[in-house]
Amino acid sequence: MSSLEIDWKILVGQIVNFAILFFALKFFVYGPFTKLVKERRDKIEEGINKSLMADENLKKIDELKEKSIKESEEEKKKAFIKTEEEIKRRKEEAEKKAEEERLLLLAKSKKEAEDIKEKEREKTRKEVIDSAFSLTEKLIKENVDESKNKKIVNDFLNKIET
Amino acid sequence: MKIHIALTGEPVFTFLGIAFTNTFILSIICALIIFSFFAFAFRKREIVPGKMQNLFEWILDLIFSIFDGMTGNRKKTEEIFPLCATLFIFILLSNLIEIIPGLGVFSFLRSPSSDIHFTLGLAIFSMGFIHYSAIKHLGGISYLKKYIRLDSPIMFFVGILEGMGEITRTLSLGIRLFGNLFAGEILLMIVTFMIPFLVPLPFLGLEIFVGFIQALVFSSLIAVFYVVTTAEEH
Repeated sequence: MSSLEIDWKILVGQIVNFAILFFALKFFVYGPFTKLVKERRDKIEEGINKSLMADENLKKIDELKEKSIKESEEEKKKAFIKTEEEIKRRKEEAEKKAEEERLLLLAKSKKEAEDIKEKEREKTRKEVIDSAFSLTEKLIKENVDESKNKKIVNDFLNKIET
Repeated sequence: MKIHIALTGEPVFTFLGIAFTNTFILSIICALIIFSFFAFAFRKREIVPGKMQNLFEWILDLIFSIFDGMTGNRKKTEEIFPLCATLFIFILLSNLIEIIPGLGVFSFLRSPSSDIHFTLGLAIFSMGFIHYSAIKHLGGISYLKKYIRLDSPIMFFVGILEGMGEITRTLSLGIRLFGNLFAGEILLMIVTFMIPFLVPLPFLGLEIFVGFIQALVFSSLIAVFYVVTTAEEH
């Protein structure tokens, strides 16, 4: 080693110098760096996992949404059909009721008309009888000739007609 | 003008009986620069990094990926990464500091990695760390069994050769790095001395490339030695 001009003190000094640098870097740089990288990797992994979970959840939500939309569509359809049926039923009911009322009203009107007619007939009959009586009385009271008689009868008939 | 070529640095001053050479001082400065930059970049450690933190994280991540490919074992990479990354950055900066104008020209400024103390020091520390980790992983007895084999005289000899191999491995690591960078330093010095204008530029480019390659080779070898030394024998 003497031919290489090695000074043991400098050699030890160089070793110590490198050792200090090595341990200083190991303690202040590599340790925190490794920890940081590990932490970051964990965070990235966590992020990826969360993202995957979120994707899965989103997929589930989409499925639920689709299902719910489908269900709601079906319900809507059902409700629509039900409503249509109800409207139809009510319409039929209303029509039936109206028909019944119409018939009832018609029958009532018919009856009323019949009553009025009957009343009028009765009234007319009564008037005819009364007039016949008064005519008879008149014919009896007055001794009239054939032409006068004819005139009285015609007046009477005109009166009845009016 | 006379060119002075020495294997070690030039002493600048002496403190507590230790001669502080130009290379030693520069290696301390390099260590301080590296630590300051990283400490500054990671002063606020945030999950979402800022520009500076992002840059340094990218550098570390790149280095980690390189060594992970070499070890082929994530756990072992995590264990050896601090050493390999420090070696790579430290050697790279020590090599690249050579291209700063004045370095290698003035005797009081010289690239740290062109000093054998620097390269040998790194090799000794790294191999020491690897063996310490091996003892921690395998246990003292299993570790010793790799070098002291009593099952047959041949295996006993093989064990001794393995032990010697570890020493030569350490020396070769240090001397390889030193040889490459010292040669580059001398080449630059001579070329700059002969034709100082434009001609040294391609050599400087070559030195940057060699500096990068050598830093990578040294730290890669440490990663491989770590995997081999801490591997359990079947």
